[in-house]
Amino acid sequence: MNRLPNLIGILMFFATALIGRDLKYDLSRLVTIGGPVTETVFALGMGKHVIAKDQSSIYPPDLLVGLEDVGYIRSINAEGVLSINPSLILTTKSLGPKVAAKQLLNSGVPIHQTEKMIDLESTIESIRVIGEILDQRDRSENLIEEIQMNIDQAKSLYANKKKPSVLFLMNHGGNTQAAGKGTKGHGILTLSGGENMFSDFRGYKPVSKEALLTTYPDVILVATMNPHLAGNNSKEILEKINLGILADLPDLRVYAIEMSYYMSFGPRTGQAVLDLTQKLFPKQSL
Amino acid sequence: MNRGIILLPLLGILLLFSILCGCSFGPMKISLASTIHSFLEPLEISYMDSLPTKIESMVIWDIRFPRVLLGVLVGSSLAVAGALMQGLFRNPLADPGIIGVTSGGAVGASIMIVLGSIIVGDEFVDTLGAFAIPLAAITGAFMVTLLIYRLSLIGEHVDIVSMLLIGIAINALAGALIGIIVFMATDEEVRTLTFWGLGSLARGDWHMLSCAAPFFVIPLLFVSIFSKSLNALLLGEEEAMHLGIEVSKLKKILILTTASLVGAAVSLTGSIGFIALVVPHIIRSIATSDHRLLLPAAGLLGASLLVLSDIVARTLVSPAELPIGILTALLGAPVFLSLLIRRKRQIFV
Repeated sequence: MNRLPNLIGILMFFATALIGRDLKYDLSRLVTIGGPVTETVFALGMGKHVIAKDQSSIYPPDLLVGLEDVGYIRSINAEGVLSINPSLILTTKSLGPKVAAKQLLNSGVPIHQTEKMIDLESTIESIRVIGEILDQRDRSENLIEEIQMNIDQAKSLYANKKKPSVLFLMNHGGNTQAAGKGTKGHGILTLSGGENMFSDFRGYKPVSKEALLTTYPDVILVATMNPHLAGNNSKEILEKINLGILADLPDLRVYAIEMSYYMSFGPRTGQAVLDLTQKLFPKQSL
Repeated sequence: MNRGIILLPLLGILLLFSILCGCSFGPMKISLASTIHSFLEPLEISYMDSLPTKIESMVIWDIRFPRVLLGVLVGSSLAVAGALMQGLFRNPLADPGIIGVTSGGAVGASIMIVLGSIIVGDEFVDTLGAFAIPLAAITGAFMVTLLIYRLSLIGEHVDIVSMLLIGIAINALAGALIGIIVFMATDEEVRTLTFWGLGSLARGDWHMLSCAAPFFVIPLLFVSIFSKSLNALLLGEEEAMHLGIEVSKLKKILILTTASLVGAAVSLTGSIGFIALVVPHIIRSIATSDHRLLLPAAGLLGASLLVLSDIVARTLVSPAELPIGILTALLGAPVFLSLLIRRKRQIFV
């Protein structure tokens, strides 16, 4: 809505890019804001420099224990972030509210905002940029290559096969919603060779039990925070989210999957796509 | 009036103290000397050797000070709007939230966040920039106020009971509209709506303050003219009319003033509850119901209360921050309950 912060961001980027050619960033007190950014920094082996992260950064869980928490990426407190004396802030364009983002950009502390990681292209580009900043170009190129290889492998698994129609449900705190187009879940599903049954609406929407009975999905994916607690078989999984009635649909396969892994883009996207493809196209049908 | 003579200066000192605290406390440790020094910096007065660092003066000037000023404007506006409403309804429980002004503002802002680019076009939203959401909220607040006013007119008079009941209906309608907007919103927009709705002073910066200030300052300067009329209105509408006050004109102006104050506040900080209710109540119980004193005193106390609450909001869970609406509700809800209990006793004992 307001282009000014973006413009400042772009100018800062070019300014830092020009100066930064020879000057290395000081990585001693790195703050990462945004789940995919934090994940990328750790995937590049630079996690040891991170002193603080935001609430959307939950992976890798073991290594994030004890790090300072600066709140949620969309409701950052600029002074709070500055008070931990960061040497470099890595975040995405989602940083907000706008005033706080502007204050951080003007604070003189080196800060870099990557594009939002919403699809494969933006994810690969962001990983490349973070690799440059952290001076880990080789590692980031390896990571990107690995993602590409996994996705190519997934594609070869479903090439020339009929795409299964998939009902992608997200269960969050007892509230079940279907993923429409424009969601990251939809993006991962499409890359994995699935056909989203709800691609005619945008975003996550609640759907009625009755409406679901009129659809005949081949696969139902139930994304939850903890798939181990979601039930052991199709019927249990569906009963847990109050949709037991669907279990009798013919030739239906149901999988409980981990939300943070299958519904976000980041360094693990390639692996997630390959895993999901293997679920959607099981061995016997190959 | 005797108590009043000391009350206003005392509240003035409290406000100055709150502003100083607001500028010197925060997640970043900055000494009081540095704070004072960075205020003297533009005047080129230097009284000590250890200058505040660049980042310290940036934090004080660009983060804390505009935020504290926003707290002063919003706090005093809400408290004064509350005092005006309570005078208008002759009821200490009246609150701008009740007649739907707050909801009107919230609907306006939500529509702009989610549907702005569809309704008025991307170009227009870009030109308005930071103003888009505040303007939408003020428009929403005004439209609701106008609607309530039209609907509750009986002949030449605004019927207070109809107005309160229509306010309830408007609140319900606003809730439904916001529900529809949330349903249509994308994931990211919903998050913006949630954080906006919880109330926060974090959006305060110089640009926004300088643009929004007239919406607050003009009505605030202007309300003191109505003190005597409001005092007369306390006796009852008939009595006020006999005292030579044009009651329906007075009501019209008071309603518009409240809409402007509340709409502007809601648009910048989201819904911060209970200040409008609690602050006038405190002034009435420690000093007076005389509007000549009540209005300025409520303005001063409201400002101090919000600035002090905000210090807690941004230091308690630092480096993250707490939505301030939670704090004011924690402070205000018990006061609201005690008011209700006292009323019950008055009726039944």
